[in-house]
Amino acid sequence: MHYDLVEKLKKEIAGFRDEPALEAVGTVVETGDGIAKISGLSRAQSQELLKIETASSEVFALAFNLEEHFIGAVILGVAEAIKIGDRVRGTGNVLSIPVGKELLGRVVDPLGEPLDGKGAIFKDNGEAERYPLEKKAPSVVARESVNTPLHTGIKAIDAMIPIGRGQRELIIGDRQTGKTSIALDTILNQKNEENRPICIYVAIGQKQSKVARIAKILEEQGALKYTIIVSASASSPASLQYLAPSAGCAIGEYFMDHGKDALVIYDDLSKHADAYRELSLLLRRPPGREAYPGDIFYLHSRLLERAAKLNKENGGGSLTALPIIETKLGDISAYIPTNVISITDGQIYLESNLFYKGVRPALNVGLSVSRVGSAAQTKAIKKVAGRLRLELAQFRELEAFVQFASDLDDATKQKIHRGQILTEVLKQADLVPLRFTDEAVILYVALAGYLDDVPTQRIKDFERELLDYIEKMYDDAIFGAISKSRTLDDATEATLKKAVEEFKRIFNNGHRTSSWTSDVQN
Amino acid sequence: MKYTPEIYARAVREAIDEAPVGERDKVFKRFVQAVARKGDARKLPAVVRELERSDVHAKGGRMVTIEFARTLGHETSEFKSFLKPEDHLENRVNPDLVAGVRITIDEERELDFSLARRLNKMFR
Repeated sequence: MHYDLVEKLKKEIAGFRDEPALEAVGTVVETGDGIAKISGLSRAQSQELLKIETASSEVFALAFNLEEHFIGAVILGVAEAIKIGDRVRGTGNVLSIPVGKELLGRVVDPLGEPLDGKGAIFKDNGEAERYPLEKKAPSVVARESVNTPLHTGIKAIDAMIPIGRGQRELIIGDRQTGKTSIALDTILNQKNEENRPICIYVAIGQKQSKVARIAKILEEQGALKYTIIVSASASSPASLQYLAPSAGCAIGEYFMDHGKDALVIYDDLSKHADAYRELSLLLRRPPGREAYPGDIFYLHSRLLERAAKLNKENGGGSLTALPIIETKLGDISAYIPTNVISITDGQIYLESNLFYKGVRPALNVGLSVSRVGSAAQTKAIKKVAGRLRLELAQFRELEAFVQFASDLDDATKQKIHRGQILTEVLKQADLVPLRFTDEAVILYVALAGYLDDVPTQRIKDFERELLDYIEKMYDDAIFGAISKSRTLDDATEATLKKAVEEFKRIFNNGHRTSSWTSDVQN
Repeated sequence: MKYTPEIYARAVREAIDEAPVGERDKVFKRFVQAVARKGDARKLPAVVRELERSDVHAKGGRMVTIEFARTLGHETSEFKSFLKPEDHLENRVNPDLVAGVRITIDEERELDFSLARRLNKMFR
């Protein structure tokens, strides 16, 4: 053993070549709070990666502020090791992250280092392809319109706020309203997709326990194999929290550039803005509204602009972004929420009131919108859900009269009843996303009036048993046909009507479909 | 507003240049008092260094620092023959170098012949 080590060292020493040359250097003149002020290195580039040589190790820093006499740098490692007088060298490179399919199923930090204890990600880290964290967004000519749906598996979203691949859809709401659940369901639902996108979940300033829980859920549900988690937890320095979304985006861009579809979730950009504010104030940049620096809009716009649907000439890949913003007391007119609303192609607005009323997902249909997704919506869902928004809007207008229902005319009563049914149908537990074929069937049944005589408290049973019945009796004729043609043609619609009528007779007679179908099979 | 040593150096230089020759010592004394009043007395060595540097640069010279791992005798003077007369040479002892020498020019460029650097390069 000792002999091997000695021989290895001897070889290294024999092969060691060192030619000292005149090198540009700087010196740390001030350090604290994760920031270092460096003199010298007058030719450093903005965003250049710098190497600080401390007594015990090398610590990397990012050139952030290039001033007349100093560089304000953000420390990316152990800041405590840095002392005044330490040497600093430029690397000539901007910050980049190793990328590749080896990242799938892993939890990494924004610098690409593994956090999941599963060992090295790349066999040879030096040979892994690297993508810069800051990259110019694809140009206008490289893009095409959003035309492929990204199913979330959540009925209310896929029906009324459809998301397309390459779109940027904001998920916004107060704390504990189910923002992360929507993102998580979307990742889980990709398991059912034929052309499955690679999912990247970026946790910014989240509790480590939450990240661990998400990783566990994804693993248990078999979704981790196509997911990458980039985590800069609440205990990470502000610098890493600031870099996390760019790292997630760079990983997504790698897959997009290779012609694949990728989905990146930024959870959440409010904490990202806070981290950037902290760094900016420490670097003495002038504070603006709510003490955020003047370029906070540009920070988020250049990040989200990197989401794109590339045209065929550029590989046809896409990067869909689902940024999350946490509001305070439902105030969507605060600085960061309004910024991100204006940058994205729509928003999913979640409300605490609805959440506590038991409407989950707590989607405010009136304030939620998808500006480009309808072009990508699956025809089957578009056909069945066309009237959904209108009927719900009518219900909301009449909702206030529910308590005086006995004084209302029959038409109004019918509209209120239909609204209550639709609200019940759109309720969905988390971690159980539905296939788009299931969504199309359920929405068809609800909007065609088949649920009008079903008691509200039995709607969930009806839904579950109907899907079970169709899967057992008409799988190919209904689910198979919708899945293949992606639309609900006349023949399939006729079969579906027949199946629903059959099922209703059984359901109304009080039989459970499972016992009925087993009778038939026997 | 925080005053950097560069700003202090520039201000005192201009004040001294504008003052009559006999008054210059007094101007410098008042400057030191003003800096102390602002609570920046710890910046005075850096201000002096900045003044030195601007003087040397104005004459077309460079600030050259040579670090040795241990105290040397007359050998240090041999380095002067490599420099221009306008250059400012400072010798320092830095045991962290382990052995060898490190030359820094204008705190911006460095030629490192130290053993510490070689060891770091080999084993880090």
